[in-house]
Amino acid sequence: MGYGASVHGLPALRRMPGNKWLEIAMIRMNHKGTRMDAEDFDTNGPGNVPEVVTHVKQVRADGMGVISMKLVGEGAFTSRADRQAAMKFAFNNAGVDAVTVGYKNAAEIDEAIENLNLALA
Amino acid sequence: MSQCSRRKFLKAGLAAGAIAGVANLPLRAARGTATDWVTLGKSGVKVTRLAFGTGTFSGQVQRDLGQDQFNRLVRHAYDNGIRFFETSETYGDMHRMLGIALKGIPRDSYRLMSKVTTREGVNPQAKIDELRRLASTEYFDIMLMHYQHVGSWPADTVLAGRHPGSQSKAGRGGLWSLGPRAAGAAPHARK
Repeated sequence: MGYGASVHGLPALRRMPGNKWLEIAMIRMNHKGTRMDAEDFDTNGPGNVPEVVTHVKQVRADGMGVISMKLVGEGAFTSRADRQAAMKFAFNNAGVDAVTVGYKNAAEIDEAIENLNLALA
Repeated sequence: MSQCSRRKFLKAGLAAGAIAGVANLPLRAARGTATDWVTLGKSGVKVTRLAFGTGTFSGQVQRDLGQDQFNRLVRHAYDNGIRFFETSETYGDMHRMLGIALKGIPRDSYRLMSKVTTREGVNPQAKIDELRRLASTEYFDIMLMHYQHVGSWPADTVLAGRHPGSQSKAGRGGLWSLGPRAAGAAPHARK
């Protein structure tokens, strides 16, 4: 079984790299910083995308697997272009291993599969 | 990270600076598809790249679907190759609803992740056992400590007498034994 942690906020995220105990890191990710990690863990303001990406690369270099969330900005990405860009950014720029998306209908599942396939094409 | 030496801490800091300069450069991930199985680093656990999340607005969106519609949604995901399902203690009724939706599907054909909230006065093992019963599963493939949000969390978060600040792999027992197939014994987890 794998074990790890999900973090919210840069102060918590900064403590993941170098941690020998963690195997899996759950880290929020998209191309715009929407609902991503900032200094204040409880802010709705934009996150610091470059720093979060840096930490994703660090923990992957440490051997952790990375699962990301907020690929649709918690519903904020109302255009498909943004949802596609988020998938591309997560896998091609940040280099995450897997992503999770919440769905409310089958069309959203189909679209997420297509968007990720496109990102990996 | 109380047991992390200063030398290791400085080394990590230097590495951070080196990586920061290339943070936004494209990596060009390996080609593939959303439903490929990928290994989550040193955990060895394989999951599909795309997961089925149950926590939109803390699960409200999924709960509001009702059990029947949620069942159909889970089956649609499964039938289209998504074999990684995830939930959390904080997503209301989602362990129970997900357990019902996955009923009848061979357990070794999908991976199940949950997250437990760490707080004083709660026995993590008892909580995980409760979640396991709610989800009608003998085991979870992945368990995360949920919502770590302060910089001192590796030292503060004590789980069954161990904490993630520990550098000792001997600390892996206890908490992370999830029932009959204890201590990482999910038969397929490292295939």
